[in-house]
Amino acid sequence: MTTEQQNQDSDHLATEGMSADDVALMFVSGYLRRCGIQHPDILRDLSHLSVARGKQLQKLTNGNEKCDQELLERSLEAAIDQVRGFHDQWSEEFWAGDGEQCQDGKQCCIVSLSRVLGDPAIMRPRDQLPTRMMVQLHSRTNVVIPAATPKPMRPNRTPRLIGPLRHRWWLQLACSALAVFGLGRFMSAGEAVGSSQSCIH
Amino acid sequence: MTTQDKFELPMQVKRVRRVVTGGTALISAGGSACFYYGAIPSDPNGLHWLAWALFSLLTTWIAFSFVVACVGFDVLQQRRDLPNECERTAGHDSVRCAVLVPIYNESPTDVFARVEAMVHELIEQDADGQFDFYVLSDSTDPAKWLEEEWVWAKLLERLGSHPRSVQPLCAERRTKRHIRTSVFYRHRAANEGRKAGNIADFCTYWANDHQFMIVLDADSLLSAETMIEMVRRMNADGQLGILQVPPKPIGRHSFFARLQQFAADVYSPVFVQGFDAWAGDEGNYWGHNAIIRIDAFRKHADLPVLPGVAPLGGAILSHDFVEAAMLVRRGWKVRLATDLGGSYEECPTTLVDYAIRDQRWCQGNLQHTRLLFSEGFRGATRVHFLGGLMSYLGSPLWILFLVLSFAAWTLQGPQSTSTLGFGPVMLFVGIMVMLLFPKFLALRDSWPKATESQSRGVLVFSAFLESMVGVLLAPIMAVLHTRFVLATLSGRNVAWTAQQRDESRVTLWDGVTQFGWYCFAGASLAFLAFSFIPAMLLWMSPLLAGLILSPLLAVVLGSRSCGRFLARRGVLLTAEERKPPRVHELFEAVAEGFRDRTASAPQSIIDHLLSDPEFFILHCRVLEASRAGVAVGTDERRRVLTAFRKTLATEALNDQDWRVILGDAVLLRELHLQRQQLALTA
Repeated sequence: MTTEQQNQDSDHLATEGMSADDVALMFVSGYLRRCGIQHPDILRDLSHLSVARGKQLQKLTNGNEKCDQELLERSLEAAIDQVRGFHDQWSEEFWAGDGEQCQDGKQCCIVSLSRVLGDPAIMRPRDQLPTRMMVQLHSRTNVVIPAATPKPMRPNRTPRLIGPLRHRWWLQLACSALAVFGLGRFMSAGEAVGSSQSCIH
Repeated sequence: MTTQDKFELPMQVKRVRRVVTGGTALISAGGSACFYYGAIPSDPNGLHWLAWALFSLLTTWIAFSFVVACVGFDVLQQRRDLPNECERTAGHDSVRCAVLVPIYNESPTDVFARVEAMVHELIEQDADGQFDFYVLSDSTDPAKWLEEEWVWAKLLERLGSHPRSVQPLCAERRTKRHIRTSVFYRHRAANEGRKAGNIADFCTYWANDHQFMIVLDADSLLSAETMIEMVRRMNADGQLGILQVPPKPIGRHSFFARLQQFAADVYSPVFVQGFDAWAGDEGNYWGHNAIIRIDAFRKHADLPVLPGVAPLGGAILSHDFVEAAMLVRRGWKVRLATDLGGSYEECPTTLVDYAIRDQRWCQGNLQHTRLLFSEGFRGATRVHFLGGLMSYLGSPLWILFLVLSFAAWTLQGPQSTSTLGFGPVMLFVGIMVMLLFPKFLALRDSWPKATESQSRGVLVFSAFLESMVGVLLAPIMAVLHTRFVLATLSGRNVAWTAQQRDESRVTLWDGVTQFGWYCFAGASLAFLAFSFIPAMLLWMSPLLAGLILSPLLAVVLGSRSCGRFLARRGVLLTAEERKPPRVHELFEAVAEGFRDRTASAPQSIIDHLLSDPEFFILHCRVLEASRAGVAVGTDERRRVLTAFRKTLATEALNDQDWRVILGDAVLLRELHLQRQQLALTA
């Protein structure tokens, strides 16, 4: 099924007597259910919240609230962000409560999030959460990897080849040989050439 | 401390080096003299001299290995007579050691099963507070990448199910307790520098909390006791930069794998012991199953880029030897812990797998040629480089020697077609003794350990079988190595028709397609020898038999049932097969569980990522925490979205596209949104 077909389907629902808001609400609640949220009250509240945010987003981007498909997409977007927001907030809060390792909350994740979201108690303020829930959240919060603290490795230059494999070495040898025979000016010329090639390894 | 004081080699090491050098020189000189008097005619041509030079070089290398093995045997005998002075104390909780598992498109279930097994054993030993595992993924296959995240999350779920507690698999300790080991995961956006780059990336960003790191391979297993002891030894010796624990291949069942496992179990100790006695504190690092002092590594082991282009220039591929060399030249000790067990790895199960691995190593080792002739390295380090080089150059040089000898003999005239002279026969016998005598010594060392489950007769038969197969394999490996060297030097890759990654069987058709040419070459050589020099046919028969039988050998060696048949009769049985190590038992149990659990895992993991909000959120968090997010460009984004919207199927985009998409959380959210709409409409 392509996007065009989806649009047609949602339009079809709208023409069947459901308003754009209702369609968006239906889609959003469906999404939240897939995320694990089952409690009807929570589902209703969060769905309405997502659609309201969707409308705001729609207004911000388009300046109008007319397009039904747009509202649906923006509401779903808001629902996705909302669930991600819960995840991020809880993982930060519940890791910070560990006390073992002070971590940046952004480094943490909650595994089996749907099971956590399936518990209606989760939406309560933290100080009112039952111990069972606190423990569950705490046990499911893990560090992906600690925050990076950069300390670069010290770079190494390529070790240069042993003397006989470098032509400069032969040159210097020749210069020294010349020096032995008192041909100093050849030596200094040779050294000058050698120093100009000092970068050659 | 930037550079350590140069350490003085102990007297014992100096003595061993004198013995090894003297012994090698003596044997080599003797061999050369024998060749000169026994195989070179009175009116030699130029080819004779070339063959003589090559023979001397190759004999020197064999003599070196032979003397090292003899020294190793002597050290083992002396150690046996002494009480075990190895002092093992509890680890220090204050030192946290990182255990690195660099992976690249490996089987995620196997990798994490090994990690879980090691974590469980650490818990059993009450040492989990000392270690943190870092699974460092460089995977480029998008499905593998996502599978890694999936399996990692399942592992965390199990380890964290119950309030940060675990019920260890062992029966003795059933109390739930707090786990103090973390299993971290990160994915790198680009696998720059391959494995060495992966580890360097860890050292740059995450190593600050750790003094030491244990580097593993994807197929490595270390027992908890060994890990604790490695940390203790690093703590005890502040000059120790790398401690390498020789890994033993275990856990595979094909005939070929069991041959390798048997050889490693019985023969390796004499070689490794001798090598350690010779190298002392200037030992080598084999890339995994070793502990490294992070500070020293960070300061001195960053790999230089070799001048020139591949195959011999560019980024260093075989990084381990070079890293050890760079630490040694700065005065850090690199040691081999020959007395420590509990270090395991897996070996290739088929001839082709073995060849593919060798091909990879070949280029890396050939790159060391430049370093062999570079300034600043210690003598022992140069021998390590030379050893790596000769393990691949040896084969083409032997083949060249044979060709030269044959050509020289042909040019000489047909005066000796009827039989080989006494000299060449004695040389052949001498070489065989040097190759086989270390095996005899190793067998002698294993003699007291032979138990009822593997009687001494079976042990001898196993060694005989291993040697016979070794003889048949030698020409195949020689031709393979020659191909690898030539291909590497010409900048090409040798293509393989198939690659068996798991222990699946090799069919006769596979054998024929992979080794048909070897068979043809062997048969042709046999025909030529029979036609022109029948006297040589007998001497060449082991060589020719190996080539002619190569397709059949590939099938038989890759056979699991053949391996199991021999195991049931106690043939090629290793110590680890008789009494499996605890960590391996744990691994088997966890892997079995993994297989059961992942049987119900999503078939298309990319589909699952788009469909399952929980997995999508986990992936985004891994991306963020790993700092692996890379935004896709506007044009590319438009192309991807257009392609995806047409069908809303993951197949609309290829692996390369998905690799890029998985790194962009924003684009991924859009695709997730599209897929959710589709699902909800349905």
